[in-house]
Amino acid sequence: MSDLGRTLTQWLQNRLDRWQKFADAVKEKTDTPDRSFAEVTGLLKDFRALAGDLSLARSVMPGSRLTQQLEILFARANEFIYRQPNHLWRDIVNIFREQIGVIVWDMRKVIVATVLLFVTSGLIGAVMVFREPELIGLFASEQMIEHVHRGELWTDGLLNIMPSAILSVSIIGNNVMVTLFAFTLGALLGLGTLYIIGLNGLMLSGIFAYTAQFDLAQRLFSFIVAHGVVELSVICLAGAAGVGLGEALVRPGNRRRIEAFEQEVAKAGKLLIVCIPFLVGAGFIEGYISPNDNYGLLSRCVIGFGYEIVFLGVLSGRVWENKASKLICIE
Amino acid sequence: MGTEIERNGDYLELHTADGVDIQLPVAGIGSRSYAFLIDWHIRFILSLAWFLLLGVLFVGANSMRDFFLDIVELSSSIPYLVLIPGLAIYFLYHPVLEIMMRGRTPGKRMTGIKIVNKQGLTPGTGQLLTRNIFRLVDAIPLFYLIGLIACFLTRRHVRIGDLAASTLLIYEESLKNSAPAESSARNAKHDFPVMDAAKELSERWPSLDRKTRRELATKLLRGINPEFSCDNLNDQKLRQAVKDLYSLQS
Repeated sequence: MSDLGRTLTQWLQNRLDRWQKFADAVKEKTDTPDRSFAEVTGLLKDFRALAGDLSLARSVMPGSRLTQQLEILFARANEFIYRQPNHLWRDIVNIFREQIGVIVWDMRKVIVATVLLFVTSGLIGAVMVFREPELIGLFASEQMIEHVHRGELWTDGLLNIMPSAILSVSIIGNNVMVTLFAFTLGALLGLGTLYIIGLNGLMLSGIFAYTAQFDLAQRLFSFIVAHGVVELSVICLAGAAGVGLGEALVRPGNRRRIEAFEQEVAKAGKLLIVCIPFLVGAGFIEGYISPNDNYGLLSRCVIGFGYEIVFLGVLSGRVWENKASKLICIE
Repeated sequence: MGTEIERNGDYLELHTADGVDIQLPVAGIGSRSYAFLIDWHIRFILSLAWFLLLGVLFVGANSMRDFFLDIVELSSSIPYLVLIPGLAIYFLYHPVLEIMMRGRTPGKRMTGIKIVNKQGLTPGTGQLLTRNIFRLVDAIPLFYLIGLIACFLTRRHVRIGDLAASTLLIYEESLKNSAPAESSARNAKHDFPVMDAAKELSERWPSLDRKTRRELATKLLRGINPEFSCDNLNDQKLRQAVKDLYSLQS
């Protein structure tokens, strides 16, 4: 080793205490938000010094044990210093106030396409069941069909079987799963999502068409309208998000395929964050209001369409819009 | 913060904002599967324990069979009270623990792996939730088949959930070794080159012939203590003396 090498090695050896203190300071459990300004700037200063020491160690003693250990310390410190702050609630509020309107507008074409797919498959399902009523067996269980044959709906007396709270929770769980499936199956080039949206359209209108033949369609509508308007809107939006994923994979444009996929997931994830609370609300309506005979058709319609108006208002981004930021943008 | 500079399957290579490149070893399919199996057993046992506890509380040990039949058939509301928290334990295990334990679960911790984002940092809550939501796709049709295929086909051995959330798994052990100062300070009485030479000799010990390794060890130990003699030490003790140069306080 040359004299310069020996000098540098000695110099590194003299830094041991400083590294020891720095290693103690950047342990994960020491991560507290109440550090003083002086402490923080001290840590940053030590981190920069460590970066310099590591570069020196790599040139003087490449591959040595000391160099490896300095690399480990540097990696730990890098994580400690650059880790993103966890402002979950602030980020969620920001999505509702600043981002959701832009995201929905950005996704408008794919949302319209998904709604059209849902409506089209619905029309096909209705025509199928009107013409060949036995095809209802594709969409409805035997138990449901027996109920309709007896002139009643399978939802009649639902509250006698289980209380509203339990009913709501199980419905919410089911709806959230359908919504998440509609979204995530978009990763299979969008085909999984198209299947779920198409199948839901076929089922809904097929069952309506079948109950209409037994004069039960109005009662079914009365049961569905309070919760169903928002519920179907959410499923369509989740489907649109899934179709967006598929489109990103099939037609990434000037982005790399994986980048396009990641960007679409991030965007669609924010849309779902807004949708899920409304889906939970729809679940409670379905558990408490829809099976309750004390609510007439008019009140159910007011609840259902009123809830939808609030939902659309939030999606437009104008309900909790941050006026201050808007002014800044205009200026 | 760091940016990804090279796409090497075995390492996540980062160029940090401070101008230093670092490498993080990427966890393979074996480690991932091992961690998953440990986690699966933990959450399965926790859920089962919940069902058994509630079963004993509601109906007593004797009528347990009927109680579980009720749960399967969902014939009354009591099964839901039991079923929902039990399923919550099973399905929320990964997202909740990964958020609370900063990209780890007990299984991952036992395996020594951790989730990081492409900058090599602990992912945010949104990323961790996203990678868990996509388990729905990774898990179909059975036994995470799609996820496994994705792990086999991708350079970083990641499933679709990781692709969606821009995350990957690295060997955390590479970050958890003793801090440099911690172990180096203990050996501060020796020069770093001596420590490196001692470590290399110890590692190559079995591949060297007896005479050569004793000569090298004597030379190295005489650099520390000129009076040192290996005459009274057998091969094993001599090797330990070499090891002590870099791994123990002398």
